[in-house]
Amino acid sequence: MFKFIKQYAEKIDSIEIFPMISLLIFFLFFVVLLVMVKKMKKERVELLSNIPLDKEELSNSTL
Amino acid sequence: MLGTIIKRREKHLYVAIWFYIATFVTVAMLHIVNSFELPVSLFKSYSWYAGVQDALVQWWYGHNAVAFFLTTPYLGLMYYFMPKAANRPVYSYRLSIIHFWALIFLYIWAGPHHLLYTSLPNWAQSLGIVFSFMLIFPSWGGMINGLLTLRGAWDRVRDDVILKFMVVAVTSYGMATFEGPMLSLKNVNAIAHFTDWIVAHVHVGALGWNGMLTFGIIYWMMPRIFNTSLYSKKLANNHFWLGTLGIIFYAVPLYWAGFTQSSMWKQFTEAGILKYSFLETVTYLKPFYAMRSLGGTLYLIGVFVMFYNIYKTVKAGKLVADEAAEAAPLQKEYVKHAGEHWHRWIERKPVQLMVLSLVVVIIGGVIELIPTFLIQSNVPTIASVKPYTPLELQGRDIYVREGCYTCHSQMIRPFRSETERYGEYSKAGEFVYDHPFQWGSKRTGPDLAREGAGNLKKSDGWHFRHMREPSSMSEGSIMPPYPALLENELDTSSTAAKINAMITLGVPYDKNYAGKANKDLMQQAQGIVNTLKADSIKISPNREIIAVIAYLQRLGTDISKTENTKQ
Repeated sequence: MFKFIKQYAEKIDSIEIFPMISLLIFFLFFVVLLVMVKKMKKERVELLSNIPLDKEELSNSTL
Repeated sequence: MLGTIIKRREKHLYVAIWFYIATFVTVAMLHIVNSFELPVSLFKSYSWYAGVQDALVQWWYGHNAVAFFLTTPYLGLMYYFMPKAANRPVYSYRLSIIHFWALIFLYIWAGPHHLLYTSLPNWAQSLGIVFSFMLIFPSWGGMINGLLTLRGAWDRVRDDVILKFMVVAVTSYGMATFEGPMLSLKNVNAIAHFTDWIVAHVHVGALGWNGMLTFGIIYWMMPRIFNTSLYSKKLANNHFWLGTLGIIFYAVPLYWAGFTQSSMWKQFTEAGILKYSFLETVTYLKPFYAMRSLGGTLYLIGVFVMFYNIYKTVKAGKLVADEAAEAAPLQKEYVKHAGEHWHRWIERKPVQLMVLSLVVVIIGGVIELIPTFLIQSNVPTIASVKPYTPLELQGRDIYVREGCYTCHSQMIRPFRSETERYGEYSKAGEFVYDHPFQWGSKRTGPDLAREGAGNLKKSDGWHFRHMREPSSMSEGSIMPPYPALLENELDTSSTAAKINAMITLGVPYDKNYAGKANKDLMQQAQGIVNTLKADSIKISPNREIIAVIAYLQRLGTDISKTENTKQ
């Protein structure tokens, strides 16, 4: 089973390092994400979070 | 659906859309991987995977079906409809970005927490535990983000039934996602697994989070679609209370039942023998099951009240088939302005977002699944484990067809309370010919992994009578009878195709065995018929019950044949 993957995977030297690399990539992804989110401009955040609300809606009550 | 998103006229992709995109791609990926099957006939096929690998793949699928079918799309709905209903923007848009990426990244790894203390290699169990535990952070981040959207509007929750539904929904989400990481800790899982606790857990999510959010959205949306107001606010309020009480009456008895049954399973007398038979632990739970169905009924009545309310609302209104709306088409060329935020590249482009989410979930899946496929030592083989005989194979397929695995597990965990009750704990190598695996996840009935071996072994006649009328052999049993098995003729025309399919999947039958299989099958069936005859039961050998008996008598016998086999 899965010979088609296995035969290639066995040929790759030091395949053990792959999981470590992917862990690092994702760790860095989240570090960068956090920094960037932190640095987002306030007006922009406001603009984006208001997308679902249109102005006429504000006067209408729900029920 | 992606086409609609690509054709949009709003430049930015609001966070709700991200959750939808992740849902679409991941659900597609899950189904493709989980459905690798080898067809035998038009309606029958065998899972490509066997035993431990099948368990890992199916729970990778199973848990992510919860994640990407019941969680991410509903979070998208929450991020859109909570602000709509409360008339204020989401509490923190920044938090929602982190929520999204953290959630889809962590979720995809969590599947193995359904297999703690099983024969799954330990590293995979640990991986599942770590990621499941970490999931509490994005989940609670999202829940808090949802609840805090109501900041300054809490007074309206008192009057606005839609907000009530949404608050209960998000609170249930919070409770279920706190419980989830706790349940994936091994010490808690040892108590909860195989019991009704897990059933309670998923229903808090399904009835509370998915159900209540859906109701809130329906009450918000239907009057708008039909340009009217809701027929009766009072009925909606009644629905809210029926639903909320329904959830409580449903979940609390099940939590209680779960704890109780687990404690009874593990209870030893002072002499060191098990205090309760399995059947005693089942009959004890009957009142809890009655309460549970009361809760479910209340919840369902609430849903019918809603149907009536919506029906009246629709009748009173007129469908707004085409709402007057205008929006300028998107500019073809978007000029990137200096110093813009990098994440906007993703926010503008659904395809990029889709590809990136897919990469995230694929990496999680690949790392979790591939190693067990590669490393032989993850599934130690046991010399005495042999392929099923043709009759047992047919019986096994009937076992699968009838869904026996929904109430019976075939996985003995390495606890003294289990090895005393069921025999030697299960080893990965015992399942190498199981396409698909039958470990199960709930013990409404006892474990069957060693049903044919040791103290558990019963006569063929016992099994025959038990299938015809379970309570005749175990008084108080809640198992349904299976009289049809005594009537149905076993379809032996499929035997050769099944054996050939198994050979293709790597089960070591002789190359030309398919042609001879039915002869062996009839011989074994005749043997069982003879022992039944001695027990004054008359039946012809070509009935399905014979195959089922053969399979049940086979369970767990391999390993007891040679106790000293090197593992």
